[in-house]
Amino acid sequence: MVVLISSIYSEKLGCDKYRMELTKPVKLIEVLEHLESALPALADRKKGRVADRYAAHYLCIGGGRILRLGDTITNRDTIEIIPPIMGG
Amino acid sequence: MKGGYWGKILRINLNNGRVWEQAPDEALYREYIGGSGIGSRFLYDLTDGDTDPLGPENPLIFMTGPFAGTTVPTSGRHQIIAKSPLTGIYGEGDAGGTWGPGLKRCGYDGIVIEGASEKPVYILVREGGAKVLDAAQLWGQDTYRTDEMLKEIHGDNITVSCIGPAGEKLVRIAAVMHDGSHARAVGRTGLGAVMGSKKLKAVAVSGSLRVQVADQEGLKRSIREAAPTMVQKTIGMKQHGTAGGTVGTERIGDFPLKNWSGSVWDKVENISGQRMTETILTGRYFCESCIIGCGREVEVKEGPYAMKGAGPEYETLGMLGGMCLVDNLEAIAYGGELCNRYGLDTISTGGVIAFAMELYERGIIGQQDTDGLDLRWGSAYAMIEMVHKIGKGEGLGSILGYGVREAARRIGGRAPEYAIHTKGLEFPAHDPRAFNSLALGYATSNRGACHLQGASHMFEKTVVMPELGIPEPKDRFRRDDQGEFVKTCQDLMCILDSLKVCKFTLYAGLSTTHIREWIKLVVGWDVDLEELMAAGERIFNLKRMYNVKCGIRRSDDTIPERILKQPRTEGGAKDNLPPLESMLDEYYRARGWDQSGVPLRATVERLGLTWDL
Repeated sequence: MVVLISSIYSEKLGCDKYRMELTKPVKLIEVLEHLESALPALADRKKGRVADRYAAHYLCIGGGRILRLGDTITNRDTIEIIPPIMGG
Repeated sequence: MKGGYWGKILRINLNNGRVWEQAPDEALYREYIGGSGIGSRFLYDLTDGDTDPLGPENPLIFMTGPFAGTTVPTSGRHQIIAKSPLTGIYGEGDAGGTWGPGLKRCGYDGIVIEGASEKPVYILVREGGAKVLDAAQLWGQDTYRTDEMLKEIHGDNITVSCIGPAGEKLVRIAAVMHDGSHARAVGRTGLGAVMGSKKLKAVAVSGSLRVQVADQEGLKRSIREAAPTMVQKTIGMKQHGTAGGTVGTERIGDFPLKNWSGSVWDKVENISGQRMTETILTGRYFCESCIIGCGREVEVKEGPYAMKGAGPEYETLGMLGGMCLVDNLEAIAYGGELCNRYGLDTISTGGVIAFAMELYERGIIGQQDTDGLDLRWGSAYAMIEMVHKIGKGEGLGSILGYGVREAARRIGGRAPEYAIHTKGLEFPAHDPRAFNSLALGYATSNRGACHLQGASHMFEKTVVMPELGIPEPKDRFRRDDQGEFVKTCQDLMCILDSLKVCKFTLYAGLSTTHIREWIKLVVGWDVDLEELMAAGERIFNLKRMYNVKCGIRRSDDTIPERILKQPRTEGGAKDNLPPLESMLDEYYRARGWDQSGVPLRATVERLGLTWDL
């Protein structure tokens, strides 16, 4: 699967795309746990659980949807990490 | 009532300068809560469908909620209500800052201002009373300077609500501004013009009374438990302000572009909140009792857009930026600053400028209409010049200042096709093609196109509220199951608009359990979920009944053809068009309205709105 990274974050993370091989479908939260481990700057030096940070620090979209942490991700998917959408 | 309310409303008549106090029954507070609820009840009782919005008979109502002046998170807000001169129907707006708690510390829950003065005046409210004072020296000043001058006269501990030159000139998209350069705007529906029509330049408040709380220790404990999670969940908004969502909204097809004709924009990052943080941000500020802190202090040190003051909000970036295809962050910050100083709603101002740019690009108007201004898409210079013209009521600006609906009528020809509004209120910076529920929300919002009167899109992004049947965020493109959902969201927003709690706390995890607990701890009332939601429904229906008096029916509950029939061709909302008519049928059934959009007698009776039958 491919994780596209919004240019808002790409400089900080040092890449604009991240590839992962998923041998079976997994939950989005598992993808993000792996991603934060591989790209620690994504967590913005905050400790604690991904679930506490998701939607507050960053958000994922895929297939035109705003993804939930419990959504299933397969190896064919492309998702994108974008800034949280609040306010306005 | 053991706390929260004073049980006193200040009444002021500017025809004769009379000031008196009204003590409403506790039932009024319990049934209508405060803010928008009590304000709408006053408006309903004091005016009718024939009332001239700019006549002395239109009251200007300032109202706080029960939590103002306490430590309840984000409760430092207040509501202003009047018949709108922009839309001709129910009008209201709200703002944070410090004014609402300031009024509360004077010992009043609200102020109802009637009549009109013959000469410019301002009102000074202190503990136990108010004076109507001469404002000759303030008339003509911008809002920041007005705030400074009143502080020079009365001291730094006053808080000022005022209009700028736009309100004085009765520009129909004029705002009421607060807190000087830490600007907080009651922007929507042209209430600045109502204030101007009364020759009322400002309402300054200064008090030191402590708002009573039924259970102070219990409230402290409750807030200590809730606040850390709320702070954590909204950290992104603290870091980058409401503008932090700009890039994300563009990616999901929600960001407004080119007078709602664009789909994607590769320059959006140039005007993002993150870019603002890196470049012109100098500080942050909080409304009173706020735990989020989304206010931005910015400075552009040099160049044509040099300014220092409040930074642009998401809405300002959307409307002066994306809508006009202006990707110069400094120019947008300067445009927002000008709107604040003139006292203009940045949403409607951006909406009317983008409308004029489209007419210009299509040849419907030309340089003979713009005083020679080259009103092209993307021209920061033209955008800024138009803000000046609208604020001063000059040239084309004097027409645009009526809002897109009336401006289109005056310009004529094909202009109305490009006027994007509902019931005369310009769309805010969220696209109903990105959230089907927003289409229904805009169509049925009592003040015209508004994302905050229902805020259903929040529940289609990340917000949940299991106790209201929303255990997880909804699919934003679903085509049914919308009527009851949007009704519930609107009723909930009426509650928040009446309590005067910031809607951003929904992103922070606010629940109806918090709300009921804080009502119990502050006021001393045991309110169950059914009573709470019934209050929201009652308030929403009262506003609708007011609009029915003004002639509103189903044919007005719509959105423009561009949004209904022209999909975005690329991006995160590609090809989606909201099915408004079927959603509207479902919605009317959920509301208990007839097919023309009028509340059924059974609905009115169930909600206790029968006094007018």
